[in-house]
Amino acid sequence: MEERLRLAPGGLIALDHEGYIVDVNDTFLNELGYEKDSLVGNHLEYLCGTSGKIMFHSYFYPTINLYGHVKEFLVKFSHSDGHDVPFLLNGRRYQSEDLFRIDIVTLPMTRRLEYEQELRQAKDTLQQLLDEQEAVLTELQKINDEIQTKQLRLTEINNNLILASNLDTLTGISNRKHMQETLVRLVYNFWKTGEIFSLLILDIDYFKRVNDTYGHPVGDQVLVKLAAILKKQAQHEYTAARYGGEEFIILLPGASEDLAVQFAEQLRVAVQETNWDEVSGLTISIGLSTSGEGDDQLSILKEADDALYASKHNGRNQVTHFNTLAERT
Amino acid sequence: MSKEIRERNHINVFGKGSKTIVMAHGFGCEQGMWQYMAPAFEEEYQLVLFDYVGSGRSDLSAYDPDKYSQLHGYAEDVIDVIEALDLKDVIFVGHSVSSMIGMLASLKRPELFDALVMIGPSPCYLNKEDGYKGGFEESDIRDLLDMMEMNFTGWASYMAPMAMEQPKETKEVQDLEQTFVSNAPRIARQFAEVTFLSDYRETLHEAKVKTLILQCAHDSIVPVEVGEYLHQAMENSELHVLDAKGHYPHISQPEQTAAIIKDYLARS
Repeated sequence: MEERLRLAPGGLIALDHEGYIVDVNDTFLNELGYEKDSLVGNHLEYLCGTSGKIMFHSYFYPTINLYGHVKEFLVKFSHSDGHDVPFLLNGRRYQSEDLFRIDIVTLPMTRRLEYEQELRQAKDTLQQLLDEQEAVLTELQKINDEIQTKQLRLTEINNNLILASNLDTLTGISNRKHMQETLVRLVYNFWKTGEIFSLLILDIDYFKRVNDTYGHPVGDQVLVKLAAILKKQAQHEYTAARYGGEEFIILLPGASEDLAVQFAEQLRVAVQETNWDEVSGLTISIGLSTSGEGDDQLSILKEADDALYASKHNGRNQVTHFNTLAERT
Repeated sequence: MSKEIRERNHINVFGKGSKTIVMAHGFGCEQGMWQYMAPAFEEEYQLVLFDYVGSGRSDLSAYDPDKYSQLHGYAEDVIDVIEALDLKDVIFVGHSVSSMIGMLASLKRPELFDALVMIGPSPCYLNKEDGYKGGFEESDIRDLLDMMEMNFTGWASYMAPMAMEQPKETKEVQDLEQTFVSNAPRIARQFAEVTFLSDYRETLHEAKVKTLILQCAHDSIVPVEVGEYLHQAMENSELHVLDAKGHYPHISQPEQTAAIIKDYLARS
């Protein structure tokens, strides 16, 4: 090897086909503290630790044979005094008719590696922090999920409570409070949009007699049974409610006087034709009113009540609409 | 299915002959490693080369860390390849860790294999407390993983914030750079762990397919005693120690290696 190559600012190694060292320059020898004679003829792995040996055989050697070159291969070589020195290797396969060599250029990279170690350490620290953050986030997410589940449950309970507070405990249909709230909405809507509605109030004929004759438990049964009929007739569009005692109200949104009378008549007949053997028959009297100019929730209730009074007065088991009262008197 | 596997394992079939040789690369490699030895068989055999999922030009998106956390996962690849080509009674040539992979595949599906050729095999790379000398201490393996980490792009530069997303290696990434394993550092690391921490000594006595064990006298990775150990443990095996250095006789001495294999196949 000529002098300039021997003193080149980088190590030079030439290997034969199997990886034995054929030639090496002074720069490389000085960096590792060896004499030329002690390296030439040895396999390169003589300089590698165990892991370096595997890296050489599982990466460097096959790569250079398949692709003809290896770039920036990091490996640690043992100094003659025993400590490891990291080197960066570039290798190239040289092939002529009668010669096969693997030429390697080496640069020591102790300081570079220290930088890299610092980077890797920083990376590991970051990764650890991220993992911790991730764990906290997962925990938070879990807590959040639990809160959401509980909130859903609470909402459900709340909705049930609202529903329960709207219902009459005996009959299970709407109670007076709910009826009044609905009535206020209907009145307000009538004022705002002019959409009419009707109010039906009914009373069981001679209910006092039922209680007196058959006892309160049977009276209650009658109320429950009647409520079921009202609910069935009202279907979903109308609201049937127990107003108090044996008085019931049905709110009929969108129903005109004629429609309300028709509905009430059907209801009266339905009640009359129901089997009431337990109390030897039952009828109801009905009073109706329909929203008109100047009406509010009080006036409309009063009108229906007046009509009911007329039904009772005129012999019970009949339907009266408030609007027909004036005509009669 | 068969087309999927052909693409997944980048299968190459060539050569003429009624008998088929399947050649399987080892850790850190790909099928290109067979280029020096394959020509010696082309005239007489059909040759099948492939890459394990995670290596070479295989479909990296098919990599499943659970499946490939044991050599059995790779043995599935071998069976898939043989089945995809509708073959049986193949001669399986495995290099290094592939030797054990081939043996595991033959235990599962003996009818697919006529013979195994193991080049530089080892059932266990670690030195064990029972006195077995695999050649490595666990600290060596940790060192190795460290060295790999520093050598392959993607480790040092694989900064933590990006690690959060854990992107799946895509076909495009894979096509960018076609070098040994370096484009899939996590896969390479797992393959290294699975390979160097494996211990299949207990299964050796189950092997029934006839087997040629090819061991370099001066193997750099597997101590020569391991070849003898395997030969003792596998009843239907023959051991041939090559006067060669290194761990790649099929690269450093392809003609000689091919001649030994051919001789074995002719005799058995």
